[in-house]
Amino acid sequence: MQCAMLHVRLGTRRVLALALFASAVIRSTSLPACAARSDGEPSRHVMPTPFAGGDLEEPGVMEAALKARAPNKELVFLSVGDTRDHRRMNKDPALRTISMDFLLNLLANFKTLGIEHHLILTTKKLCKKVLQAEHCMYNCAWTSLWHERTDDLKRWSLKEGDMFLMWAQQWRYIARAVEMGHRVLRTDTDVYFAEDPYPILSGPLFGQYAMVVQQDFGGPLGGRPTCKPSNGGGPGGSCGLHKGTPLLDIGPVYVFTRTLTLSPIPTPTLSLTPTRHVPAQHRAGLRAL
Amino acid sequence: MRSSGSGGAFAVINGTWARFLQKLGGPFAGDVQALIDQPLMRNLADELSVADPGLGKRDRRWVAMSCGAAPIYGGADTCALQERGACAAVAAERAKTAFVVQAVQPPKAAGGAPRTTERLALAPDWLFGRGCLTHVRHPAALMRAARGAAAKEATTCTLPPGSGRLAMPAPGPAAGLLVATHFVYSMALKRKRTFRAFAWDAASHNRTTYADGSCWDRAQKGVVFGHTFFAQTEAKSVLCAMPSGQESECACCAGMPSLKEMQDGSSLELETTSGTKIRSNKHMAMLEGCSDYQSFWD
Repeated sequence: MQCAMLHVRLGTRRVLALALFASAVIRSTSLPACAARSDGEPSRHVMPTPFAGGDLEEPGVMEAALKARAPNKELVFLSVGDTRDHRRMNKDPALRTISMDFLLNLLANFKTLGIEHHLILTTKKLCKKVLQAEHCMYNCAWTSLWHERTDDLKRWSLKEGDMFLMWAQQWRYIARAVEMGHRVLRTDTDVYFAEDPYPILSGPLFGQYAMVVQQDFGGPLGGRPTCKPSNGGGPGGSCGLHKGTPLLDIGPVYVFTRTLTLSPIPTPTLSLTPTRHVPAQHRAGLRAL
Repeated sequence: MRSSGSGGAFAVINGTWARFLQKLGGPFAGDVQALIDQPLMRNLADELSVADPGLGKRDRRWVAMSCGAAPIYGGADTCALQERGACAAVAAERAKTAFVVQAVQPPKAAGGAPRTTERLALAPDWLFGRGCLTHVRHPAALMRAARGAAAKEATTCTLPPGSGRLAMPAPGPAAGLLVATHFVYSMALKRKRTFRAFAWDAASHNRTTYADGSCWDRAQKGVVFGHTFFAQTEAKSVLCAMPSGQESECACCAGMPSLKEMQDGSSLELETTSGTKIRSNKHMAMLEGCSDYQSFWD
């Protein structure tokens, strides 16, 4: 938390000046014509512009990335680590080649839906040599965040580009994007979108929540939440306290943070039940790759 | 009005990386998995939870909410099937589902900075749900055994929409119901094969289709798709045939009644990603409703 406060204290004017500088530098970079290609089909979403890439820790780069990739303050944030990560190779060796397939498939999935406002946090090598050079995708960035903590990284056997590191780095940048007034959909690459989620996430039912996250349930966590017909259609839709142990699965997360006035919702009489013990395997949870 | 960092949801995501840094700077915990972001965020959501009289909760526990409490879409938006009757059926099915809600408040800050309580929702499984996959041998025989004379009528062989900003829907009777499906608990190769079978792989080349019902004979392997949402639907899983070869083909699929009772017979032969026969007699029970975490990691 303190680091975030320090960042804020950098001063708005200084950040703005650096952003303008970085933006000018990036605009002057010559990008191939393919970087601006479009399938021409109209979309409900504002189309982003190509981003030449950069270290998000460099002054102004984060601001420039958001300006290019999230023109309507709406951002899909993806992170893809270095597939040489020995843990990933041992756990699921096919990921050495399939991991990038999944990213490309998700991007194609989004493109079909007219959603192209994404930013991919990855390594400089994957950004420049794969996404940009091989696929003409100017939608990625890298970071040197916390790389100076060499003793800490060594103690935990972490290398730059490891997913364990990148999973934390991504939240640093998502928090920054939210601070800057953006709405962020973060998703793993093993998620498929059968329809555009935004009309639902901003619709009457879910538009009132600051954050929407997948739920993990099953086994000792308890079953799916339920509403009895007798109270499920009640005012406000509250069905009383949930008896299971809800856990966040952060594979898909949508953050729409805003100040809410918590309005009263009439509810039936609630029965109080103790929180259940959660076995270790469920507390940790798997992470997508 | 957007939060500038004073909201509870912001505190959850901002605190996740801050907790990571705390752990990283501390002693090695014996396993690098102690640094995984997901449990860090789960703990924060729990720790920052507060009472919310507006939700009728006097403590930190979660409240169940009905999906039928308000329209899912606003304005002129409608479901992905874009047909009034079909979308009405989708809306009716989704309205039966519940989801859970929590109120979170940032920790007290030095100087008494304002803190805003915000609500976070754990999505209903039709919106953000969990999918489970298992390979199956001889899908045509399984289809005949499970659906009998209704096999042909139950089969859909669907091609991706060519335009209109529409994605290939979920297979079989799940079309239009599911929004985002997360396959975290299946290995990569099985996921990749499944995406081909579902025509979710965004192939640029044309796909081959088949006459009604005949697509089952194209492959000796299929995939059974379980989903948390199927716990409430008539179909308890969806069976799809793999494409006949390397070329992409239509998604040849059908909803299945519960197959739990068939697991002892000869029609249902489940196998791992590497082709080894699965002998657990509880496998289908766990796949239907995707109620287990570890069983599909093969």
